[in-house]
Amino acid sequence: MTAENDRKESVKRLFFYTGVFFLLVLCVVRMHQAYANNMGIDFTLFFSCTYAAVRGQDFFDVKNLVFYEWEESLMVLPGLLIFYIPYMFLDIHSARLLYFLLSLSASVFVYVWVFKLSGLLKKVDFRNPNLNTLMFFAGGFIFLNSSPQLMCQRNGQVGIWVLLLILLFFSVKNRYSRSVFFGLATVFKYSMMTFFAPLLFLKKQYFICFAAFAVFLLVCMWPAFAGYNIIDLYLRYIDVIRNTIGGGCNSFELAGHDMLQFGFFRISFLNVLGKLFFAAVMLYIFWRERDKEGIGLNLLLLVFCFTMLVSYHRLYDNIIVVLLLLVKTNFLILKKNWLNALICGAFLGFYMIPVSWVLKTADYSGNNVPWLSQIFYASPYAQFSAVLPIIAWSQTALGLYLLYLYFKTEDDYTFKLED
Amino acid sequence: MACNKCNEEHRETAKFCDNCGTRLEKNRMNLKTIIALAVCLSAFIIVMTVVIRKANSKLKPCRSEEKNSLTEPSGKVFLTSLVKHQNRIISGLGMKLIYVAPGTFQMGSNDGESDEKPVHEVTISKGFWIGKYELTQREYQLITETNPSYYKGCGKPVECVSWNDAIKFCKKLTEREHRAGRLPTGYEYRLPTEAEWEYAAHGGNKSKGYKYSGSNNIDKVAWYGSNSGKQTRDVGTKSANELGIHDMSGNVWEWCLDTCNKSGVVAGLATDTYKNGMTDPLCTNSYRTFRGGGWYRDARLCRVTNRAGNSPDRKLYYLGFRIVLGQKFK
Repeated sequence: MTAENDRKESVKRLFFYTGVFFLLVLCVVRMHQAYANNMGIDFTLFFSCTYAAVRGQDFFDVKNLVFYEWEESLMVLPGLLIFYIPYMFLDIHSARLLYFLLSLSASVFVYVWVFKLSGLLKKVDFRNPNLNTLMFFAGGFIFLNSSPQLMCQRNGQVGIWVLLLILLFFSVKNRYSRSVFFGLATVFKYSMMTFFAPLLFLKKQYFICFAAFAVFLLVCMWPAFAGYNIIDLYLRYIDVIRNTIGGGCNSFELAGHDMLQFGFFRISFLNVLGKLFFAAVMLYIFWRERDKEGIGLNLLLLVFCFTMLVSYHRLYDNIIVVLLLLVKTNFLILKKNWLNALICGAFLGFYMIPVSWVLKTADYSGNNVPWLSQIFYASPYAQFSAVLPIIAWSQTALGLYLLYLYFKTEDDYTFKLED
Repeated sequence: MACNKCNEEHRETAKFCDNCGTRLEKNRMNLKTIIALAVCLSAFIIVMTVVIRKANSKLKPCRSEEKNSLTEPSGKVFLTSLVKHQNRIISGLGMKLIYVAPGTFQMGSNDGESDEKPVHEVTISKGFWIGKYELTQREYQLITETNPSYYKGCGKPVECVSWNDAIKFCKKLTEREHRAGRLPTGYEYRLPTEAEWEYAAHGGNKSKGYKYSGSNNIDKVAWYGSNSGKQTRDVGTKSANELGIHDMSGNVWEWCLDTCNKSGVVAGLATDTYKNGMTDPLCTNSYRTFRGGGWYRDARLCRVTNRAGNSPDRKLYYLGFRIVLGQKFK
């Protein structure tokens, strides 16, 4: 009887891991496509800027960016370039490959680590696969193949490092280490801290906030040691931000195809009103949360989702929301809250659809439903002429749904803040 | 927090399981783990760096004997060959020039991008000499004493040079040759006009109408994305075209003298009558054209009729140039 059971178990295990192997192969194929498909536009920009910086050239002047084909210099925080200096020892193609492999490894690491951190990994039995094991592998497949993750890899974006540093922030107890992780995350993308930083402040993490700000300033000042006039440099940086967001290639009018923020109405007043609404809701929630210990999963999800809605972000920045949403979905399934698990799953499903299909649909609607293009920006992109902001709509819907989840479901996990 | 052994739930502050006495593990990283991770990451980067640098260090530096071994015809011989329309070598540089006789050809393509259309007849009324190869780093260095290229190698084409840099190089070379008495008045070294470039790439009056310069088989004549190993290659290592000119398709893109009309609507008006900085009289922007495709992209861009353009001060790691010796434009 025992031998019979063992045989059944091993057959079950064999089937299960054959399926996992199949998912793994699919992942590898998708990653290879992501790399081969003209990979690394943002990495190329950072690499080009660093290449110019180490030669003492003005890296905001596009003529000095020898690897970068675009005609407009983009927003690159001068401090960020310090992380790209090690790549200067390599030629650009090797550097691009190394960066891709590192960020892919980081993606796998953050996925496993968030499962460990939230206690979900303990429930996973690798020897005798159960529902939790299935959810672990399926979740990994969903995360690695989600459009934000793939775009982050493909573009060579920095969202993955912010996510890694935020998780490390919650993983260590020492407040000095926390300050360093938070400070470095801020250097990588300070716009992703729009609500997270004020939340920490309201949670009375004063030391961490000030120390992280010091780390941020210190790293941002490195060009001064390389001989740059730091004031001139940052004044130019502000100019570039002003130009690219106010009518340049980072505006909704010209390139809103994969933007996330609430800025898709042609009437700017409505955009301002929407952003104010999200900011006001966030402040109200902060007020409610001020005396609670730690940061609940619901709150953290809401913080990052609303961050995407109020400040300039693109689909690849949503990698952090997708990961937290996956964790939330896991908890909902474990609690047999099927309806909400299904809705969360639907949002995750949306991120599984290839971006090109989403853009094709958005372009088709933009061209065939004229009144939509009169209300919302329908921007041109590649071969498309009128891409409706479907991605930003879905982010808004997700934000409102997460608000509902915040009020209606209990926190399944609390990220600790105390020393 | 749950016990790993018996799954009994405990307070976060608990250190041992009340049920089985096992030490409780917190889901937190300690400093040791972080240091270990950082060390692994650094080691990984260092190993990768060392391996790739070692591979790159196999590149040979420029040797002075290469420079000395060049054939250097005297000024008199050079001037004679100019009159006789013979191919020539620029003294001290070893730069070979191929004579392209005047003629008429069909410029552009109806099958290509919008800026290549429509096909139109262009007459090259005066013969000119064009570089047999793209300008190499050694040649650029000998004249300017700098080498801005990203992919270093004496025999590789110079890149990371702007249109302005290319013009400066041509002026310096012209002055040098005038001073040496090897260039009669009325002649100058300059960039080719788009019409001259395309005429030469087609094979001049010996053209066989190939898609790429010298063949319909791109692998035979060009270094491009699929065969270049993602870097520039020594000039002249692929077959030449009908006139004996190498690398007009692939390796590096080549700056032309003209301004570039990106929209392409008036491309059909290009002629060899170069006035006010352009052969395309209706061109309005300040962009300059470059032609020929390069080492990092697909074959489609290496077609002889393909066009691209950018700002004259732009330097890119796939963009170089080739010189022309011809009569001065008035």
